[in-house]
Amino acid sequence: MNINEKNIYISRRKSLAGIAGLSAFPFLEINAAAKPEPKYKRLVVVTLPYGTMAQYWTPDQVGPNYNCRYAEIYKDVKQDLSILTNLSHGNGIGHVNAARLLSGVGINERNKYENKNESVDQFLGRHIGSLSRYPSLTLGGGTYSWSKEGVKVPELVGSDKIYRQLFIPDSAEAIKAKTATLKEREMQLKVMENGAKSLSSILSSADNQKLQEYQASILTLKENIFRRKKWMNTTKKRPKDLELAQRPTGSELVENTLEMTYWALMQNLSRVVTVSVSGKTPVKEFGGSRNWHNNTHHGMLPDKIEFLRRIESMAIEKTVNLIKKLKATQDPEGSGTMLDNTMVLFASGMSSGNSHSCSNLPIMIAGGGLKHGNHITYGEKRNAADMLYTLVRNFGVEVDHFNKSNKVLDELV
Amino acid sequence: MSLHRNCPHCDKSYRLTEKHLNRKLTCKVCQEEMFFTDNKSTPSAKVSKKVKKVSPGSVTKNKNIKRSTPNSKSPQRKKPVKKSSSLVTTFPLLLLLAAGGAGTWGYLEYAKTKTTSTTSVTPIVATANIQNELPEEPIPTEPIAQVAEPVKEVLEKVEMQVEPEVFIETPKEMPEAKVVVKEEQPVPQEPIVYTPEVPIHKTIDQHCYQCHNKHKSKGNFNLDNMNFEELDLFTYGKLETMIESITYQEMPPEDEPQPSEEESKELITWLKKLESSNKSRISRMKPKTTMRRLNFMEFKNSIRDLFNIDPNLLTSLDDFPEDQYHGKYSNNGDALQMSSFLLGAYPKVAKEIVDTVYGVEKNKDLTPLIFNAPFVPKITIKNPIRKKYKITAEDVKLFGTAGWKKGEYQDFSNRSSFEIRQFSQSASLTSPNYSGGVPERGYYEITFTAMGKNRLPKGKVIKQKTYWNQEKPLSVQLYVGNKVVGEWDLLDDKLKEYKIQVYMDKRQGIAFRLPQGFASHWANYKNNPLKSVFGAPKPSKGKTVNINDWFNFYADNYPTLRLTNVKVEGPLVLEEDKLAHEALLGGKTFEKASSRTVTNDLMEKAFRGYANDKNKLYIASYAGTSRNFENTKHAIQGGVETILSSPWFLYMVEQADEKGFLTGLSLANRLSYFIWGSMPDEELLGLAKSGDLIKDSVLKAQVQRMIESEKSWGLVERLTDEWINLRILGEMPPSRSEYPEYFSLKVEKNSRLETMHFVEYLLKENLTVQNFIHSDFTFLNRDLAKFYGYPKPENFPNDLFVKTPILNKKRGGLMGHSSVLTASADGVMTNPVIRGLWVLRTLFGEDVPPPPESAEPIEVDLREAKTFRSQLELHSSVKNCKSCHQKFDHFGYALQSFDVVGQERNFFTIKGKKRRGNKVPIETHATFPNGKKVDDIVDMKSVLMKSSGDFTTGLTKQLLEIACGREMTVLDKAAISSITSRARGYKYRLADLVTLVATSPTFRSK
Repeated sequence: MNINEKNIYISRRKSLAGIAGLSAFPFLEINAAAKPEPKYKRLVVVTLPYGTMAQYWTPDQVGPNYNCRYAEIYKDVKQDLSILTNLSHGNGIGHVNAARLLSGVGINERNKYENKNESVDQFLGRHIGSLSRYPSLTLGGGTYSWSKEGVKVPELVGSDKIYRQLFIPDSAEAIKAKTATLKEREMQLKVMENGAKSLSSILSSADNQKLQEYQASILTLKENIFRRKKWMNTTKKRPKDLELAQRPTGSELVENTLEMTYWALMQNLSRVVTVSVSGKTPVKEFGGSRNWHNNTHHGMLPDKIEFLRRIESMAIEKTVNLIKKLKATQDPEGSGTMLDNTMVLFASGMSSGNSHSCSNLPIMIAGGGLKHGNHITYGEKRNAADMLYTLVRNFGVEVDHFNKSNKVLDELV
Repeated sequence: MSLHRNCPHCDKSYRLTEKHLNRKLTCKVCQEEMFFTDNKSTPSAKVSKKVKKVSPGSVTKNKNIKRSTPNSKSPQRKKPVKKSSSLVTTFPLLLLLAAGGAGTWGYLEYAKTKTTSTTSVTPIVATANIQNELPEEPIPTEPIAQVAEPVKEVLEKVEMQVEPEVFIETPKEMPEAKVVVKEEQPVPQEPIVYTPEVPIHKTIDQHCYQCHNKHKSKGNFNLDNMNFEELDLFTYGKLETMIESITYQEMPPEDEPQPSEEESKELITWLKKLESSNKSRISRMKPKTTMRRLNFMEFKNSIRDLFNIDPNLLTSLDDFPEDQYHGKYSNNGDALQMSSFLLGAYPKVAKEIVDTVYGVEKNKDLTPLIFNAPFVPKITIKNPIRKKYKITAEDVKLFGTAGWKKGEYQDFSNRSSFEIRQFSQSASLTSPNYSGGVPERGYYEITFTAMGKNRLPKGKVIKQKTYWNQEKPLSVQLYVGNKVVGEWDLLDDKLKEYKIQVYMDKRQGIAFRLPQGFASHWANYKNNPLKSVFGAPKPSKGKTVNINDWFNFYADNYPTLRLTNVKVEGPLVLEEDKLAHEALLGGKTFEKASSRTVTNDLMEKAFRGYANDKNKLYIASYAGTSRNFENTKHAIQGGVETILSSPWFLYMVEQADEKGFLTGLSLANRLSYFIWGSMPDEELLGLAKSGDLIKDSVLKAQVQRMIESEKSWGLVERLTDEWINLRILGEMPPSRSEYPEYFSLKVEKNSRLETMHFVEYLLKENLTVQNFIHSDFTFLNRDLAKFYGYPKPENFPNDLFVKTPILNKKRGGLMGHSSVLTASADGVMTNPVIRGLWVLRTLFGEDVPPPPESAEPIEVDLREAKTFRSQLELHSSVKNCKSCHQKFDHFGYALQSFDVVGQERNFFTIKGKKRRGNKVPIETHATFPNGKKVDDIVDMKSVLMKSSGDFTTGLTKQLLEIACGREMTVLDKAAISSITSRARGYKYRLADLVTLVATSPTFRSK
C-alpha cells in the first residue's frame, strides 16, 4: 500500500464526519439551474446548551418598544430580529427534552413519527440534496441535530477540522484517489444489497421490517456518493478575508465557527448550518469556575449568575456580529442582502440550567425576509414546533407539515 | 394541610384550609350556609391514614393490608341504608360510622345545618388491618370480591351523580405530609371538564378520565392511549394496575369524588371480564425480540474475537456513531437503529484492521527508526489558516525550553505540554505538507531519561490544587496524540531511564508534560498558588513584574522536569500482531494469499454459524475478482470491508421452531452475546449444530462454562455500565478545584474498576446478590484505599485491586462505592431525587414516569442557608408530586451522607460569597412510605436487606432485558417471579441466577 493513498483515505474519512448527506431529490438541480433566482433561502442556527437567564433575556413588554438587559447587545439590529417568548415543545425537564429543540419530537416518542425526530436542519438539507456541496453542516458540539433515522448527526468539531473540510482544496492526486474510492464503495454497496436480500429470505416479517433500516441506509449512502461525485471536480476556495484565531479561547472558538459559517454560505458550500456552542467550550476567560455546566446550577448565587451573563452575552454578541455581516453583504446569488435571504435562529433547548426547565425557550429569529422588530409572546395554544414549521415554509420547502406542526406563526410572515 | 369537603346541600366540592374550619361559610352554588370542623383525629380516620400507606419504594404493596377508603360523596344521600346491621355482621371489617348527622366519612361533621334530614348516612368503609381484626382469614387473593360483596348490599340503592366540574386536581394519594403544604384558597376553581371521544365505561369516564387523558396524563397514565374496544398489549398491561388501584382504593384519590361501592364493583367486574376474555388472545401477542444489530460493545468484542486484535487500539472506533439506548440498556432491538453513519463507519474499521495486519509484513523489513534528543523545536510554522499567530521566541519559552542546554538535557518548568515538534501531531495537522510524527502506524518503544527538581518542600501542602502535594513526588506525563499513555513519578535530582511501548497512529507525535509545572496564566494574575512557597520575581524593568520576568524566574525556581536522551524506536513487530496475521491469512503472506479463500474463511467465522454458499457468494466473488483491485492486499481489504458491513455479520439472526423456541444456532448466539458480549466460540457453535445445545443439561453446563471463562467480563461490563448505570460517569465531572483528590487519585477510573471487580467476584464466586445492598468487603487499590481513608494505603498494590474488608459500615454494598455515588450526583450537588431514583431503578428495577409536563421544576436557591432538602421536601409535599416522590426521595435522603464524589460527610457547606464556610449538618433520616423511619444509610440498608426477594425480582427482570434484548412486559411477570422463587432455593446467588435466566423459557423463546 502506498502512503499517499492512505493519507487520502484519512481525509476522506474525516470528510464524511459532520456532513449529513441525505439528498432525497438528487435531480432537482436541473430545474434550479434554469432559474436565475435560487429556489431556497438559507438557515443558520446558533444554539446554546444550557439556556439563557430569563431575567436578562425576557423583554419587559410585547411589541416593538421592548427592553431587556440583552437587548443592549442587539440594539443595532433590533429591527431585523424578533424575540419569541413562551414557546416550548412541552414542559418536560432535563437534557433529554432539551434535545428536541430543532425537531419538536422527543427521543422517547420518535418512533411514532414518519421521520422520527429529524431536526429542521437535516430536513431542509434533505430537500436541498446535491444542490450545494453539503446538504447541511453541523458544527460544534451539541445534541440538536438528528437525522431522519432518529440518529444523532456527527459533528465537525474544532476550527482546524472545519477549515480543512470546507476550504482547503484537494490536490489532483487526492481527487483521483477519492474518485476511485467512491467507485469502489458503489460496488460494495451492491454487494451489501445482495447480502440483505439473501438475509431477508429467512427472516420473519417483523425482522424484515427492521432490515429495511439497513436497506434505507444503503440508499442514503448511494445518494451521498452521487452528490460527492458531482462536486468532486469543483475546487474548494480559501476565503481571502478569513482570519482565524490561533489556539482559540471560548469566545474566539465561537467567532471562528461563525466566521467560517459566513464564508460557507457565501460560497454556497451549504445553505443550512447549525452551530452548537458546546457545553465543553473553554470558559476560563469568563472568570469563576472553569466548568460551564457546574455554573449553570447557579443556585441564585450572584457570582455564578454574573459568569453566565458574560458567556451568554458573548454568544449573543457573536451571533449579532454575524447578522450584521450578513446585512452588510449583497447576496451573490439573488437580490437583496444576504440577511434578506438568510434566517438566523438563536435558541436553546433549555430555558434554565438551574432548574433544567425546558419550557419558555429562549428564541430569537433574524432575517430571512420575515416580519421583525417585535417581541412576541405566545400562549398555550402555540408551540415551538410552529416556529420550526415557519422556518421550513419560509425557507422555500412546500410541505403541509413538519413533524408535529402544520401552522405557521402569522406574526412573523 | 388542605381538606376537601362538600357542601352538605348541593355537594359542591371545596378545598379548605384550617382557617375555614369552625366558622360559617356560604356555598357559592346554592347559597346555603355550611359549617365544617376538622374531625380528622377521630380514631377511625387515624386508622385509615395509617393503613392507607403502601410501601412502594422499598417493598411491594403489602397485600395483607386491605382498605377501602370511605366513600367521600354521594351527591344525593337521601336514601338511608336499609341493612346497616347486617353490614356489620356480615363483614366486620367495614365499620359503619353513621350516627345522625355525625359525618359522612369519619372526619367531617355537619352541625347547625338545617337539612340534617336530607343528609343520608353513607356507610363508612373504614380501613382496618386484616391481620389484627381478622386473623383467621387467609390472605385474599381475589380481594375485590370480598370487599365488594357486602358493599353491594349496602349501597344497592345509593345513586351516584357526581358533577364533573367539581373535580379538582389531586394526586394519586394523599398520605400525611410532614411538611406544610402551601395554603390554598377555598375558592372553587373552574376546571376544564374532559370527556373521552369514545365512551370507555361509565365509571371510568366519570371518575378517571378527568385526570388521565391526553391533556393531563397524571402518573403517565393516559386513557386516550388505550384501546378498550380491541385490547392491545399495552392496554392489557394496564388493566391489572387499574384493578389494583381501584380495589385498594388508591384511585380515585381520597379527596376526589368516589364511585359508589357498587360502581366500583361493577367496574372491577368489567375490567376482569375484559382481562380474562382477552387473555388467550393477548398471550399470543407475546412480544418478541426485534432483530438486533450488534451494538458498539458487541461489535468491538466480535472484532476482537474474529481478528485476534486489541480493538482498543483502533482509532477508527474513537469517534464511532453512538448507540441508541432503551432506558439504561444498549441492546434493545427496537431502539437500536441502523444508519448511514454507521454503514459508513464499519468499512473504516475494516480498513484499519487490514492495515494493522499488513503492518506485520511491511514493518518487518523496515529498519526501526531511532530518534535521539535533543529535538530542536520548530520556531516558525508556516500555517495557511493561522495568520494571526506566529510563534515567537517568547512562545518557545512558554513551551518550556528555557534553560535549554544544547545537546545535553532540556528543562521544563511550564505546565503546558511540550510537544516534540519533530513528532508533533498538531504541527502535522495544521499544515498539510508537514510530515511530522511517526511514519507508520504501529508499536513504538519510547525511552527517555528524566528527573525532577524543586519539589514542594516538606510540610507544605497546597490543598486546593490537584497535583501539588508534598507527599507526592514530581511526575512526568507522556502524551501520544491527546491521550496520556504513561505517567511516572520522578526521582529528586537523580536521572533515571523510563521505557514504554505505545501504539501510535501514523503521523502521531509525542509530548511530555509536567503536571506540577507553572501555569502560564499565573504570570498575569495574582492567584499563583505556589507563590508563597517558591517566591516571585523582582521586576527587571520599571516597577511591575512582566511576563518575561516570570519566565526567567520560574524556570530556575519552580518545579522542573529535566529530560534527556529521548528515543523513539519502531515500528516494532509484535507477537500479538503476528497472531492476528496468522488468524486472517492462515500463515500466508498478503501477496501469496488468495483473497477468495481469505474472505470465505472469514465469513465462516463472522456469520456465526449462518454462513452458507449462497450468502458467501456475493462477497467472495466481489473480493475474488482481481480486476476490481490493484493487488491482493487491496482485494482482501475490500472483502473485509464488505464482511463487516454485511447484514449477516451486523444483525443477530434469531430463528425459532414451531413452538417458538430458538433454534440451536440462534440460542448459541443469544447466549454468547448475553454472557460474553461477543460471538460464540467453536465449542458452542459445534453443540448448536449437532443439536445438543437445546438439551437442558448441555445448556446449563455451557452457561456455567461461559461464566467461568474470562470472557464473562462482557457481562460484568454490561452490568456495571448499564444495570448500575456507570456509563454516565465522566459526563458531568465534579469541579477540579473543589474535589482535587478525585482527580489526583483517579477515582473515576479506579472506583469504576472497584465496582467491576466487585460484580465479577460475586459472579465468579457465586455469592448472594444481597451483597449488592450490603457486603462486608470491596475491592481496592492504593489510590482508592487512600481515598476511602484506609490506614496505611501504601500497603495496597497500585495497579491491582485486592479484596478488602469494609471498615465503615456505610461503605458496604454498591451504595458505598464512589462510582455509584458520583454517577448519581451531577458533579455539583447531590440531589436526593437522582440518588433515590438510582436506588429504585437499579436495585428494585422499578420505574417511575418522568415528571408530568405540568410539574414546576425546582429553581434551586442556595443563597440563604437553605439546603436543597428543604426545597425538595416542599416540592415533594405538593400533591401532584408526592405520589411519585415518596417512592424514592427517602433513599436519596439517607444517601446524603456522601458528597458529590462519594466521600463521607457530616456537613453540607452553604456556598456563596458572604457565607463561604457556613456549615449545616447533613440530615440523613428518612421515612419510608410505609412509615418506617430510618436514621441513616446503615439503618436503611438493614431494612432493604429484608426485601431481598423484591431486589432479586428487580435484578431478574433487568437480567432478562439484557439477555433477551427487549423490554419485559406484563406477560413476562409470571416468568420473572418463577425465576425469582427458584433463585430463592439457591439463596439468591448471582451465578445461579444468571444460569436460571439463561435456561429459562423466556430466554429460549424468540
